[in-house]
Amino acid sequence: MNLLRKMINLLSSKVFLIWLIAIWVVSYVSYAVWSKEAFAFFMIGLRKNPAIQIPYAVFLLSLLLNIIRGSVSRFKKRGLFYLSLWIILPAGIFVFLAGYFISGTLRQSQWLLIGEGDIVKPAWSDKGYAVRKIIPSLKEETLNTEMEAGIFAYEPKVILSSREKDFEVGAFPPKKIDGTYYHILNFGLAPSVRLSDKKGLLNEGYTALRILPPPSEDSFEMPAYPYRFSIRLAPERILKKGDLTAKLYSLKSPSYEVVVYKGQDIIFEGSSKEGINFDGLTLTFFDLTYWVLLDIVKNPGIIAIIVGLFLISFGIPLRVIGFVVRVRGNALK
Amino acid sequence: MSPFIIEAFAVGIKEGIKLWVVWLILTSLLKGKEKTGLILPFYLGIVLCSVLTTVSFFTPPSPYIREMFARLIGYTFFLFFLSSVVAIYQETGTDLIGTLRSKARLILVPAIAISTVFYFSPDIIGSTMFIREMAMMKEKYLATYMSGAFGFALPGIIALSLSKNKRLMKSLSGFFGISQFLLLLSILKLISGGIKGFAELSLLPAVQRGLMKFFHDVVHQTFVFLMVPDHPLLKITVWNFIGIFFGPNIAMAVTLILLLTPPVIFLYLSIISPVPEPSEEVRGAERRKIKSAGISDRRKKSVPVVFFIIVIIMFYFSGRGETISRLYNPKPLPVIEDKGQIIIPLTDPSMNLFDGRLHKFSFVKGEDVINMLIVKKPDGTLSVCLDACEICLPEGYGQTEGYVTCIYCMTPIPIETLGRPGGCNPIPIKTEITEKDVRIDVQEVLLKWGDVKTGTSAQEAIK
Repeated sequence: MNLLRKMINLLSSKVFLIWLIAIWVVSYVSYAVWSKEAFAFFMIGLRKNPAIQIPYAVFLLSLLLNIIRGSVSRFKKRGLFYLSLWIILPAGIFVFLAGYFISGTLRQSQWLLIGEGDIVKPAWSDKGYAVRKIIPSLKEETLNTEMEAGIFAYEPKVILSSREKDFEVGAFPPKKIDGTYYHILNFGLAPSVRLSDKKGLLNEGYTALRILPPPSEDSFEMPAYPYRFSIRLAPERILKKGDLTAKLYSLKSPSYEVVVYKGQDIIFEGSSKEGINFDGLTLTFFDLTYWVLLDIVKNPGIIAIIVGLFLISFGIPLRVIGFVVRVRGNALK
Repeated sequence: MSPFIIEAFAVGIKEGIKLWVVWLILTSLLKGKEKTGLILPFYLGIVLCSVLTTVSFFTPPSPYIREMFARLIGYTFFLFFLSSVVAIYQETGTDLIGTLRSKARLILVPAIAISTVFYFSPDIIGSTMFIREMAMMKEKYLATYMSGAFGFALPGIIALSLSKNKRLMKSLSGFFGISQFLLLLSILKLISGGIKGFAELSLLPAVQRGLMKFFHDVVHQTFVFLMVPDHPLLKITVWNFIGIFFGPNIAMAVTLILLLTPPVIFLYLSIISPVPEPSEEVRGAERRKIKSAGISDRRKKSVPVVFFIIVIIMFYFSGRGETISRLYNPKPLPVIEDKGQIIIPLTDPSMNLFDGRLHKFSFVKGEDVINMLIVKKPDGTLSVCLDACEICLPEGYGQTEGYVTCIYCMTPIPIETLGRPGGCNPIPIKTEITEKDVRIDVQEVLLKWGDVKTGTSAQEAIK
């Protein structure tokens, strides 16, 4: 009992907390100066290394006990009103840092590149969902001078279906389904491509390309063939007004600018809506679909991070008000 | 007079001021506390420093060693600044040392000697290496060394004559306690810790870069936890708002806040905390006298802290942080090869290649780290070059108004002439500039890097 009391006294002391913070700062800066990637090392350690997890947990416990000790002391000295102005900020910091700890240690995440008809099943869950539909929400057309406004008419969505119901998943905020968060991390075009020669079909498939927003460029290869295809959206029209030039791109029925490489040599360069011919072969584009990079996350600490951020943003002005109230109170005395 | 002689003199003066100011203040502080014996470990530290400096004279110059010393200077600044924060906090009433106080006497003598070596050696050795390289390049060895040595000795002559003034020394000891002295050490290092001569006088750019990286990492990780989607899914305005957190302005503001917070808290607590009351037995005029002496002591100790706050703010606003040095020399961002090309976006949340500032990128191929620079020329086009020329050691370029300047030989090159090869101009690289990015062929970079490497064989001939 005596030992427990001593430990609580030690953990709740301001000096102990300050030493913990100072040791962390020295370790972090030492690593940052001599090895550079200190934060990444810290986050990886938080996930797997007890030598980092345990001191962090002790720090959180000490911080909590110090907040309780400070709250009791301020309540006795200055009353409930001043305590309410004071406590929000440290409470917010504690909740935020606790959220970081929980997220760093327990967060599970998975990225899945999906198209319509695929099955989405997180590695940590038995439940799977079918990708019933991808709603691209792209504008019909866009000018290269309008990129500030984005290429989407509204937020793209993915409809995930279980046996019981459908779920609509967007980009932000994430959708929570059975304790797991889903959201669209990235989005792009996935035209179907077909490689054929005079004899017939050689290869065919969908290819996920990062060619949005235009004029982004991506490339792909076809197994067993020595070609690399560099592709980007081709403008439908070039508009000129005085000195200004703008390019109009169709996002729903695009044309493609294709450069075909054989090794380091360019053997074809041109644009087409349907396909191109090179080296006795034909590459055809048809059936435009979309790919979505789905971010699937199980993170029990996210709520704490959000609540912590809110408390901190309220706590800072409340602290300023509390400081002004105290100074004025002292001046009146 | 050659600008190199002037620069060597200035570097010598900078290091001399650091050493002799510290000696003067430390001597007066120890005299005031009647512990003059503790100046001996300081002298021992200086002797060790001189030995290390002499040894470094025979070490071949290398950018790697200079980089290590630059890091060591920044690291020692951090340690001394942290010590001053601890000392300031100690003086506000919270006893951070506790039971360690009784053991402090045992370690005080070696601690002073070791601290002296750590404080002065990296700076003096780094500056000596810089002067040595200047002397080698211009082949004016005697003049350059003499100029540096004279610059170093001149503040010493002034300090020695001031130390004879007993009244001044007694007065100085009234203004400095342990925390003020440690703050002085860290501020001196902050404003004069650079080892690239006029190119980078202070540590402020390095401190800001470190804080910017930390801030960027924390914000990025928080956004990952909050599941904020990738760039194309956000409106540009939202992405630009997020980009504020990754920009240099936040880092500069955070640097200023971090540097100013400990001295400002010290001043605030000096003003509001009550003066310690004398014991009950002391009464009347004697009591008032003791309290008045306490108030006067507090005010005196606040004077150097106010001075430091003013110096920090002046340095911050006179150069706006990263441009505080005459040369703007950004840290290279790493880039990777993508199917035989290096692709650098024209804009992203943390940079805009068309902003008129120098941008640097580093590419690693095997054991070689190849730096490239990109800058907008006055005609609006981008110039893409290696961050090296065919003549000098590949220390790269910094930017001043209208020029890029070779850091090694300090030759200024008008930005509008970039792209023309030869002389001290950075080696141009053929690139393709699209509407969205800059595309550099890796083979072209490696070919041009070969020119730079053959330049290093000429450098070995100079040795």
